[in-house]
Amino acid sequence: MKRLDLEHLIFAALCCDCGLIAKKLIGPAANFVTELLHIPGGIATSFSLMFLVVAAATIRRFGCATIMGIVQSLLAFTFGMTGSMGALAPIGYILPGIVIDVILYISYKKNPIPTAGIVASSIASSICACLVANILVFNLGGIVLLVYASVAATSGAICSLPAFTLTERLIPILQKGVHTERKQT
Amino acid sequence: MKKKIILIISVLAVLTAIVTCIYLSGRDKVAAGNVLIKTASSEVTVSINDLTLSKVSGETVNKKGETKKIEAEGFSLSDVPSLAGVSDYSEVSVFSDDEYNATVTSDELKDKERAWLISEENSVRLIVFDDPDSKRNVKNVVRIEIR
Repeated sequence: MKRLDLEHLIFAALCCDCGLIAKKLIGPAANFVTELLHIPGGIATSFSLMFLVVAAATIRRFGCATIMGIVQSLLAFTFGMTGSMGALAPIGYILPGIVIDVILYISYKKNPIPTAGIVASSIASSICACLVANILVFNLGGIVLLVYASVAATSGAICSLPAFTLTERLIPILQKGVHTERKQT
Repeated sequence: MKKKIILIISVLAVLTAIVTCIYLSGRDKVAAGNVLIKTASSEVTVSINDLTLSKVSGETVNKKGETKKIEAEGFSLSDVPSLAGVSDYSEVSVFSDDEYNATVTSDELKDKERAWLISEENSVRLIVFDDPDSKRNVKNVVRIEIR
């Protein structure tokens, strides 16, 4: 496996932090919507996962989102941001990361910017996170679970739009940075 | 490509709207401070303020191990089945407004001091004492199902 460049590592670390902070920032607005819909969540997580998708699609290394999920779960433990999942929070961070990695890996072939992969991984990881939370905490069933999952899928799809735009703009910038670093060494 | 993404968002939003409409139209509507008690054969709506409340005091522990002192007025969950005329049951499930739910078994309810419905400002909260975490503490209780 090729070594990751310093720019990529810094960018991945930044995205881990942004994902966690974004979840906290969007929380009140997301709760307002989910309270109206009478469901326990499903929006804030999609926004948080967007940063994992952006980083994984930009860095283009299999395992990137999974490692970022592990880092996020460690950060969540450190800052006491485990939410309602408690000690099981790492599952809620790592499983969506694996889903992102697998979908993006499939979509990488011949695509400089894996657009379909970004959309699919954003939607699938949001659904995965919502199902994990449901199994570990909420125990919802029937139509409520369907609403919960479809809200997560829709917010995942909405987040894929800025994820696509960000990836499109960041790939040339990061590649330029990497080339400059290599020339210097 | 952005048009395709917007199309996907639109399709998902429409599907979500349809499912949400079906879900919201089928929900039991309960006024603030009231609780719907459902059994296999009947449904009764009670207001927490109309019940004879007792003093509740104790400590709960959250998942971080932090203790919280509870001093409130409440109604023992073990007395709820009798409100619906039920004497033989195996478990009582308590549902929040967002469908979060917790189940307390009849064995646990043999101890009258174990689970309480606590009156809060315009809402009801379930408190279960002696749990290792506060996972069964349900805020904004709207429905109780007795099985």
